Amino acid sequence: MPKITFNGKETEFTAGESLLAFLQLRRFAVKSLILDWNGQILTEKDPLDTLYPKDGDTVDLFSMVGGG
Amino acid sequence: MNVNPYLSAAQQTILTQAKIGVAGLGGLGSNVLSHLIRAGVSHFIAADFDTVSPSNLNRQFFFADQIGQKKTTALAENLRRINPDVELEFHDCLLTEENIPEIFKNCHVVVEAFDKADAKTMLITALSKTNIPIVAASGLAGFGKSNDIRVRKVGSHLYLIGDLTSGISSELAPASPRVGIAAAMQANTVIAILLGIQI
Repeated sequence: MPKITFNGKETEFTAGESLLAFLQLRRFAVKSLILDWNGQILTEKDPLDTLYPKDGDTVDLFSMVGGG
Repeated sequence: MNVNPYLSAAQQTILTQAKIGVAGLGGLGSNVLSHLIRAGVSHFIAADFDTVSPSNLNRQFFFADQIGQKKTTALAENLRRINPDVELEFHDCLLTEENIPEIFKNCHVVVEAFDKADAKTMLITALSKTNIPIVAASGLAGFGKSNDIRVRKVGSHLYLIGDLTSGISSELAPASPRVGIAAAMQANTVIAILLGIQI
């Protein structure tokens, strides 16, 4: 099974699983999240359902919370 | 006027030639601007649609006699008391995904200084197709836990400041010390980016 480093941990995923499906399966709501996918910054406005991680990729999540 | 004589000539040149964008003139934006002007930065493009209200005075760089004034007007007055020569291009408008790339297109760094989480991600989305470094903040409400606030580099051009968890809520209000820490760290990160020193 292919693996990505997800938030610092090796995580197996199903080949062909989109970034959106990967996050939803792990119960992450994409609203107000920043994704760092191999150094590329993505948000909920990007087409996460058409982006597919590959074996060896790195995905890190960062929450944007209110206050300023 | 040179308000920071403690820099080398080369550093002063870099800071005086830089143009910094600030999206939002509340607790983060007003204090980031104050820090950057005292550090020697003198060109800014910023935007906010709001007016000064009494609840702003717990953390924002405004004064009681400015309640009711537009934030753009009141803050420009306060910042020019630090350095009368500062160049301020302030827009009294609502920032949107559509107007952000145009308003900030000539900036060397843009500071995300919004209040609401969805506005924060909106700015990052709006500038993600440019290579302009963004210095954003997430997680700064409440008191204590000073050491939980830190700087993270995300991707090649996003810097995230905060603890990423302390969002504002009915139990957790934004307050001057912790918002001030985050604002100072945002300003310090901007300077580090400009001078090419460790973040």
